[in-house]
Amino acid sequence: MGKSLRRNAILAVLLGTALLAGACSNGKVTSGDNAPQGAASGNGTEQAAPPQEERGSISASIYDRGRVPAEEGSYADNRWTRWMNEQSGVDVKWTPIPRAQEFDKYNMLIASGQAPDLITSYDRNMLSRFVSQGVAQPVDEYIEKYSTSYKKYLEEHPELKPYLTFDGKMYAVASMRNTRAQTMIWIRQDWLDKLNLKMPATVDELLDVARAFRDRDPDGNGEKDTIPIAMTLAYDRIVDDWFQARSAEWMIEDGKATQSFFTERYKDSLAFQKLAYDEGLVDKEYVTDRKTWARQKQLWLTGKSGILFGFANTTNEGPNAEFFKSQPNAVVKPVPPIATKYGTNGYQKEAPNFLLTLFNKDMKDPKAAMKFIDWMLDSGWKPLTYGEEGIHYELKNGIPVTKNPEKFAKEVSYAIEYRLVHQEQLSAESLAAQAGDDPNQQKAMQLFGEALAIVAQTAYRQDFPYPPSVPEYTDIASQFKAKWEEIATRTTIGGKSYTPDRAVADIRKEWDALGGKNIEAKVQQWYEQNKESFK
Amino acid sequence: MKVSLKRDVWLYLFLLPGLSFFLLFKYAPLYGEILAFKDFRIVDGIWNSPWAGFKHFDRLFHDEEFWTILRNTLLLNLYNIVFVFPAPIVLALLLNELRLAWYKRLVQNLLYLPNFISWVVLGGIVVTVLSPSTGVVNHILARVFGIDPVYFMVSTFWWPIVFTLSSIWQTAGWGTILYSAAMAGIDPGLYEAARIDGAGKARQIWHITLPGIRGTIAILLILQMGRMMDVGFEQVYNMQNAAVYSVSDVISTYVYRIGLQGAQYSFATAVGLFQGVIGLILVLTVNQIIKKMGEDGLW
Repeated sequence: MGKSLRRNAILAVLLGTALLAGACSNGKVTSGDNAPQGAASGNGTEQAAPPQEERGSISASIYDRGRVPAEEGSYADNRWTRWMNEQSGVDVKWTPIPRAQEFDKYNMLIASGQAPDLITSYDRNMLSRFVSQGVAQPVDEYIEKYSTSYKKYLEEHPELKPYLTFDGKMYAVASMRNTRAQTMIWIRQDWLDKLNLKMPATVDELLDVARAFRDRDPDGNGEKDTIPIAMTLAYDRIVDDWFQARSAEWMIEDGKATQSFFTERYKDSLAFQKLAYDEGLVDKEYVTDRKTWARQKQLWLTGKSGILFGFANTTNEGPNAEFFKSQPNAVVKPVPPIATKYGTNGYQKEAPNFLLTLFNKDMKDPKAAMKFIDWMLDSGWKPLTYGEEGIHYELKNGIPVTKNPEKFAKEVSYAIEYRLVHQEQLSAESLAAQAGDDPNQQKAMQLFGEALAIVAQTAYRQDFPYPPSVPEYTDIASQFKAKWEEIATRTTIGGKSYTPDRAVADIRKEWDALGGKNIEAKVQQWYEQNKESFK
Repeated sequence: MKVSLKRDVWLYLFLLPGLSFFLLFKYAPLYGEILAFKDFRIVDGIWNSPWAGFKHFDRLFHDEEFWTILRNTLLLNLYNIVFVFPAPIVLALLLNELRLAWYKRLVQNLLYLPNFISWVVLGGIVVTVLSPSTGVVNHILARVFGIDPVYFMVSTFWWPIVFTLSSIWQTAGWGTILYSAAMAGIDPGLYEAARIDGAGKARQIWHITLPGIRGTIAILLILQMGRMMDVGFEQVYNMQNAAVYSVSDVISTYVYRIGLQGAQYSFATAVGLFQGVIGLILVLTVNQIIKKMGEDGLW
């Protein structure tokens, strides 16, 4: 009796915790889902002032990057969402989509019939799956019927069309990017000068510079503690791009659709990564740093590294204002495209389109949606980019100049996310003007401008403008990714026994096991059908 | 029956919220399991998607990758049962012998603490502690034993060991509390009698304490067996890196990749169903075995 009582007590405790845990997780999910809806319905149609003209009402997705400060409200309800409702004449209910888990979140919303009217994303692949599953509807007719500004804009930018077209019909709405620049290598010019080196132009020269940084104490602290290259997400991409073999991208080789891994050039990319690792030109522990990149950021910010494989945009990372604050004597330059034995490939250029927006097939009020898009393209995007005139910026020579960077960062910087479409174009001049009075910020923006010029100079090889919409391929892409990532990583850090040849053979084996042969044929077919629209 | 229903009508009413919780959140979602036998299309919904028979199971059993993943899952759980499961028993026995009450409480709380920290943080701590250049473990290895730094986290040999040790670190405190509670319920008269008969500490532990918590051990073991096919997603996800996928990928990460990232819901559901059925069989079997051994079992 005593024993079973005790047993029951323990069981009860266990059950209790299980229940609690269950209740908590359930509570979290529901409150997360309902909060935005609740907040939005607070200023929804019922409460709005009696409209002069018919007010439309739609729902739309918004990337949640966690950048809305608490005192500003939330992604669903803040000064800019209220402002948009007021100005556009359309009531928009925003559904936040966590940036890093958009795929999970969208799938969940769609499966449960809660997807917003406007489904916006950078991920064409995902959207193309939605289109093929019948989540969205074509937009041509609505543009024809309800739009004026966007219709005109599309006529002026016919290069957007292939990106908006899925299965031969126009399904998406988008505008041009403010810049197509993406990746960039940054180098400490002050270190080059100190060691009497010149700007590297080829892979071998870059290796020599890195070795000199490693061995010749460029920071002058008397210790051999420099790790020449600091990484970001962009590291393997940049190296792959030198050799025109971006991992997992499709290439046309001798007229045949091929995964980049199966070109000879990919082996050279792997060989470089391996060499850089073996010689200690990169951080030996980068593999466990790939979730947060904390070590890499520290290397760069504290002046322990002199070459950064990063991004052209210096607003948040790379040689940004924070970097120049901590390294006041640093002189940084963008590295022009690096030559290999295969020639010189430029830095990555993004697709010309900005965010893609689909119309949900269950959308109630397409007229209001078009009205909102027209308004956004005409005038809405400007305050969402620069803030309010007189408060956040002032016009100098027609270019908005930020007045108080801190106030801007808090009150305006998150608003940029709401621009479904916009007409902003970045240039060296506009960037310099926007920098304001902070000298560190000026340095950073100056460099961003220089990087833009470098990216524009050299063509970037991209045989497929976007990933092929072949379900057989998209189904296995993430499984395949886990395989090649592991093989590439093991090869890079694995010492002598892991050669690039062996790596490619291993990747080939995994690819075949996933039905690669069949997929290649399907992609080839898709390419033949669509290549006309690429040029 | 009728009489007791009438007499305890309020008690049964009190039971309703709990029951409805289980019906609503645990049983109703089982409806979704039919996805495993369908070709799910997101816009058609669960019921209107076309039937697919056993297609997904067929694919599952012919997927080479799945066997690797099943092997990893079972291996990690085997280590779990062999090394992680006994840890709190040993700790509880040690704590039970402590006479300083405040010290005992302090140790117990310290042991329990990691249980409240999420794997995102714990994973970061593990990586830092084991770092070849800045980690304390390699520092000691180099200073005291003169061993070259080891990059534990990318080694397919060390990773499962680190994983198992980190499980002990995170979960042992919680189990220790359960066992300590069970030990507190043992009749002190038994110990007195044993001491009079001249039994030492070891004898007392062997003949009184351990038999006293046998029932608790049995129940926790059965529950543990139910999780044999299941390795927590969070722990693996936060500790794994690209170099060790081949030993660290388990069913939960596989389902995440295929189901959520690859959007193959039907296939992922089939994997989940398979996992659940095996788990159920294991629980039933172990429960029977334990009952045969004279313990009460779960039911």
